[in-house]
This record gives sequence, C-alpha cells and structure tokens, in this order.
Amino acid sequence: MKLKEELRQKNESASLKKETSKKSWYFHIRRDWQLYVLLLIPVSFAFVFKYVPLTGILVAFKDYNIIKGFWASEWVGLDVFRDLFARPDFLKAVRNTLLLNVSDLVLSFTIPIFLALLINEINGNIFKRVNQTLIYLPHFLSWVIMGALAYQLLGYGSGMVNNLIEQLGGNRIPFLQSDIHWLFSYLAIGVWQGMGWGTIIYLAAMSGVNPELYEAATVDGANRWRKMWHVTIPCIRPTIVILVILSLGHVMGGSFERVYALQNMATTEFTTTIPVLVFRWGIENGDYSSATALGVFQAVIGLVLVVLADQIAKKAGEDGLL
Amino acid sequence: MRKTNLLTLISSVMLITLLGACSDNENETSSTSNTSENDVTLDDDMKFSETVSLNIPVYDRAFENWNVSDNYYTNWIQDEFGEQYNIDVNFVPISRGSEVTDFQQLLSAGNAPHIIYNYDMPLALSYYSSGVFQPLDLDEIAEYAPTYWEKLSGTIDQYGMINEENVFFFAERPDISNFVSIIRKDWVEEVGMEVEDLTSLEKFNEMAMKWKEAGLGTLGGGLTENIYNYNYAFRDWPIDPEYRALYSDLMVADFTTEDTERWLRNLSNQYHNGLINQEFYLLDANRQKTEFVAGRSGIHGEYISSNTDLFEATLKNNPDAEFAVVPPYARVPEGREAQGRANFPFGLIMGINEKATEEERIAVWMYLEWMSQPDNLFFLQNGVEGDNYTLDSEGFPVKNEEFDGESSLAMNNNKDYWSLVTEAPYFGSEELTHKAMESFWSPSGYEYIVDDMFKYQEQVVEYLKPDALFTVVIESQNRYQADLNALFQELYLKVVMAPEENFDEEYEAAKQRYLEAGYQEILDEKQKAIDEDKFLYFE
Repeated sequence: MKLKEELRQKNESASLKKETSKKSWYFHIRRDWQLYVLLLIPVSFAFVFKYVPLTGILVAFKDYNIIKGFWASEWVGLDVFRDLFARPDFLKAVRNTLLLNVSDLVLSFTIPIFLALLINEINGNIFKRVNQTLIYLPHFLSWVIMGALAYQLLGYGSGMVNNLIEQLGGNRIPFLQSDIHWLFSYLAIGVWQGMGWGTIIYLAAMSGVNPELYEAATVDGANRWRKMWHVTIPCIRPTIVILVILSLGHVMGGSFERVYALQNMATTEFTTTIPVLVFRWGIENGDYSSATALGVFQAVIGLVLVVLADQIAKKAGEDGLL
Repeated sequence: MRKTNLLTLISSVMLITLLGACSDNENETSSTSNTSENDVTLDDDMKFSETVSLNIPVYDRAFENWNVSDNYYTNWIQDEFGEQYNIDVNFVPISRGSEVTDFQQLLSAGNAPHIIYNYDMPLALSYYSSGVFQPLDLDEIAEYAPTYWEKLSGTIDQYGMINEENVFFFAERPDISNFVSIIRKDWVEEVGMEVEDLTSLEKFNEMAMKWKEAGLGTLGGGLTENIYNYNYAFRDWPIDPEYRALYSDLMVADFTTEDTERWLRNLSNQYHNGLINQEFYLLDANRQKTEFVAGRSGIHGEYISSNTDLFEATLKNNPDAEFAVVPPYARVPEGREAQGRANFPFGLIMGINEKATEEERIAVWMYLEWMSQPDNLFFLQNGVEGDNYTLDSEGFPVKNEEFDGESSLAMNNNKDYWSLVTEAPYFGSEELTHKAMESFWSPSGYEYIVDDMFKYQEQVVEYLKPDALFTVVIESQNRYQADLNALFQELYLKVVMAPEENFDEEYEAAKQRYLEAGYQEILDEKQKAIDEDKFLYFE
C-alpha cells in the first residue's frame, strides 16, 4: 500500500515536471517578471559595455580616419595586421608580454595558494584576521602610487632600502635601474601587491571543505602537513584549475599601468609589451587601426589559450570552465 | 527554436543600435551641409539672430585653484563678447601635457572645439592629413576680422597654404621669448669663478667639476624627450640649408648625425664624471625644478613670468642663494656658435574644425576680431587697473603682486586665452615691448634677470633660426614618431651610460637600430620633398 502511494506521488511529480517544462518561455517571464526585470540591469550593462564595443574591432580592418569616422573609413582587409607583424617592436613586445606574464603566472598564481594554506592553518582568530587585512591592503593602492613608492624605496641613488644597505656596509643594488634587476623587482612588487587579494578565493574554497574529512584524517593519524596535502589541496583543486584557465586569458595582455608606473627609460629591455604598444600607437600616435589590430591579436591568442587549457583540464579529469 | 528566437532578438537589438549610430552620423553630416549652404543671419549690429555656440580650446596647465573653463575672465568674455553678438562662448580644456591625445579623442567623438590648434607645424600637418580642417576663405576672414587680418594677413598668405589650399591661420608672435636658464651665482663664485667666465662648454664643465669637488651639487637637466633641439649648439656654422631642413625636427630626434654624436660624447663625459645627476633620466620638468629648489642642482631653465615661484622657493631652502642668467655660450663647445631653434614667425597654428558650420566659423573670426582690439587684449593680459596692476609714469602696467582677489590672473598671465591672437604682448616697437615686458615677466626684485635674458638673446640673435617648414605632409613621420621618440630615449641613455671606452661600438649599433626603426624612411621622404622644393627655409 505504502509502495503504491509512493509510486503515485512519483508519477504526479513527474507529470508536473513535464507540464512545467512544456510551458513556454512567455509563461516563465510572466510568472517571474520581477526577477527578469532585475536581470535586465546586469545584462544591459554587459551588452552595452562588453558587446557593443566589440564592433570597434572593425577599425583593425580599416584605415581609420578620425574625421571619416567608424563607417566611412576605407576597408583595407588584413593590411593593418601585415604591417603590424612587420614592425620592429612587435616581436619584442610579444616576447616581453609572454615573459612577464608567464613569470607572473608562476609566481603570482602559486604564492597566494601557499599563503592561503598558511593563513588557513593559523589558529588565533584575531591574529588571522589582522594578518589577512594587512596583506590585502597593497591591493587597494593604484599602480601610480605603487610606482612612486617603488622608486622612493628601491631607487638606486636615494632609495630608502639602498640607503640602509649602504649603511650596513653593502653595495647599492639597482633594483629598478638594471634590466634583470628590474624584471625581478617587477615580479616581486606584483606578488606583494596582489598576493593578499589572491588568497580570498582560496580561503573561501577552504572554508567549504567538509570538516569530517579532517576528523577522519586525524583518526588515521595524519599530521597537519599531511592533512594540508591530502585533504585541503585536493578539495580546492577545482578552484585552482578554473583560476589557472582564467589567468591564461591574460597571458598576452597584462597590466599596462604596472609596466608604465615601474618603467624608466634606462631599463627598457622588458618594458615594451603589447599593452604599452597599444598605448603608444593608439593614444600617443593616434594610429587607432594598428592599436586595435594589436588588441585583436592579443584577445584572440588569449581566447585560444583559455579554450586549450579548458580542453586539457577536461582531459585530465577536471570540470573545466566552458 | 527558442535558441533561434533569442538569437533573432539579440541580432535585432544590435542591428538597431548600429543603424541608430549610422543615422546619427548621417543626420549630423546633412545638417552641417545644409547650414553651410544657408546665408548667415546677422543684424546691423553684427548680432546673430539665433544664439551661436562657439567652442574655443584653452590649454589646461593644472594651475592650482584655477578653473580654465569657468573663471572671472571666461565670464567677462561671455559678458563683453558673447552677449554683444549673441554667441555662447564655451571653453574646452585641453591638457597641455597631452594635447594631441585630447584633440584626437575629442575629434573621434565629434566633440572637438571649432578651432584646432598646435604650436608645432608637423603636428598641425598631421591633423591636416587626417582631414580635420576645412579650407578657408581668406576674404571671409578679412570681412569679419579686419583688425586681425591686417596684422596677420602676410603670415597667413605665406605659411597658411598647404597643397594649394588655405588651411591655417595664426597668432602673432612678437620676436621675444621668455625662456631663461638660471644659474646659482653664489655657487659659481664659491668655486672662484664668475658667471661671465662661462664662455664655452669646456669652461662650463670645469665649473661643474669644481662644484662637484666642493660638494655643492650638479648641473641641472633631465631626460631628453619629445622636444628635440638638443644638438643645435654642436652644429657647424654656417649650416647648409638643406642639411638643416633634413635633420631639424622638433618631434623626431636626428640621432644619427655627427652633431648628436658630439652632444652624446659631452653628456657621457658629464655623466661619468658625476657632473650631472646619476639618475637624470628619472627627472621630468617638475622634478628638475625640485632639484634646483632643494639646492641639489645649480641650473634650471623655465619660462619666466612675474609670478614664478622659483626664486622664492629656492631661497626658503637656501637663504644665501643668488641667481644669474646662464650666458649664451656657456653650453657651446669652443669654436662653435650659439645656434638655436628660433620660434617661427607665428604663435599658435590654427585651423577650423571640418565640422564647424558657417555661423560657427564666422563666430570664430568675430572672436579673433574682438580679442584683437587693444583694450580687450590689454584687459585679458593685465586684469583690472588698480587691483591687478597700476600704470607707471610711462604708461606701462606694473603688476600688483599682493593682489589675490576675484580678478587674479592665471599663473601665466592668462596667456592661454589671448594666445589665439598673439604669443606675447606687443607695445608698438621692440624697445617699448622689451621695456614693458620687464615688469610683465619680472618677479619683484629680479628685473635684472629679464634684462640679462634680453641682453643675451640680442647677442646671439643671428644664430637663432626657425626650422624649415615642409609644405607637404611627411607621412612616415606621423607613422613612426611615437616609436622613434621612445627608441631615442632608450638608445641615447644606453650610449651615454655605457662605459666610455664602449661609446663608439654602442653608438654605431644604436644608429643602425634607429634608422631601421623608421628614421631612414623619414629621411628619404624629407629628402624627396627637399628635392621637389616643397619646403620653406628661413634665412
């Protein structure tokens, strides 16, 4: 009897589900119109600010003239791209962009994971919160401020750190004024600025780990290191994978402000990057077609990398992004 | 099916958006052309029957407490000029430090002012090649701006025609400049020399070495960028006109010439001997001033005006400081002449925005005419009598330094408003102008600085020539300018900072890179223009 009742209920619920799924989209909109109206705001935002500007890509295929405007400028096919690839700074910019961003990916991506693991292990709540807040703070400083600070602290002639080194009997170090030193300083400053902020997502993922797993590991005799290695890291692995895939999208881009704020004209080996060229050609020289073509090139490579990384992740058994 | 509907919806919205953008442009174009076919309606008092909106660019130099587009003088212009002719005058701020970017963005957005201007002919030509300007009818200027036309018609006739089209009109430029290099006289005397002893670069470097040994400070200066007139004093004299036309360019450095090599060798010598700041490449104009004010460097150059704070600020840190003008041969190698880049015989180079209607263009001429009237110009340059200035016994204005009321002038004596008609005040003759400018440009107690500045300018005037003007657009220059500007900075620093024994090797490699990065193309195109006689040379 009980079984019969259960079957009946199951059938009813299945037919209700079927009926609901048969309803037209109009029914859903009428029923939940308030929610859809709310949804309109972010959708319009994304449409206006993310999709409409995509039409600007046309400029990369035109000899853009500021007076003729967007539509009346002449079509030139792929000429702008051909010219772009032949320009002397292009290859250097690609090399530097890859070098800076891949190094950055390795350092700026891994260090927040270690930091999040360490913060997660801190027992004292107040100590933990204070530390978290302190390491977030640099994220809120703009790169212009960071650049000025960097030269005040690390400048060769009068930087505070070099003054200290000299007072302690050491030799001054050209942190920002020799090419190789600049590269390491650039990466280190980036890590310092972003590592605190980068921990947020990992800490959130770690707070979602089932405590029973830690209890079970404790029963099995695992120490803290083992629990971190065998419980925490496997549990946040999907988050790490998604963030790696997203980060790959920026490998051909990167921050213009960061390079611009930290560069000086005596150490330029690594400072000609794609965003710097986009600024120089587009904003300084008014060559909007070349700047747009470079932006398109950068975006396409970024997209390809994201898709590839997603495929690889899926083949490796992860959920992936798309 | 649902997917198809959704796609259709999105496509329709995008199409409508794009068509909307198209039709806006079309409307704009047609409205412009309709208007230009109509007659302008002015009544007997030259007043427009319908209000005309006139957008005038004004340099924004980020002076503290100064709103460039809304202040006592912009309101005065509206009251005195705008109301009289039924013109609504709007001032469009253009950042002085990034004027090209500002103009380009305004032009792209269709919001550019009715006048597009610049101080530099290659840039003005670059605007022209983009089709930014409309051709001018000179009779129209003569009709609506007779006073302005009387003063500038010769200049407009001579320099305003490009590719057989009248395109540019100009502001007057009296032959007078207020750029001055100041030296710490007390330092010079402390090392047993006199300012007058600085008669060559060799003596100048000797003095700098003594400063260094005495622990006083370094020579001034910073990163050389954007304006390339650094090697004129290292050039041969007399100079071949074609050579000067080919290699003189404010926007692109002639990095490959022997003149530049001589300049680089001197800079390298100064750098390796510690005569200049070892981090000079980090110093922009503001930081160079800070170095001077703080007493770390002994030389600083700037455009002087009566309200400059340079001397006062330096004295606060160094109460015993004394100042003098750097003699003209102090930075000229022995046996050479103090060549320099003279200003062109005009100030601002202006063109009318291609999108301006006939009414708007006529309003521009009326504005220039109104501003050319001596009383209006004098008021804008000096302010309110009794408040901003008093007249001395000879009738020249003497600035009241203490005044800080409503009608206070901008820090450069309001130049960014009146520079549309003249680059400097003019009082009828060179002598009278110099006399008047003494108080106009002299901070109180430093009249001798302006006197010496004039004296030294007079001494070397025969060696100061404007660069040649090309009457065709040098396309390769527009294309490579920004890249070469960045590359020049990179290469010259590399050469200067390399060990002195590696100078030749570094410089040869650098020259090659510079030529390959586009400079050779520019030289070829300029040479072609020179061969076709498409350039104006100033004797």
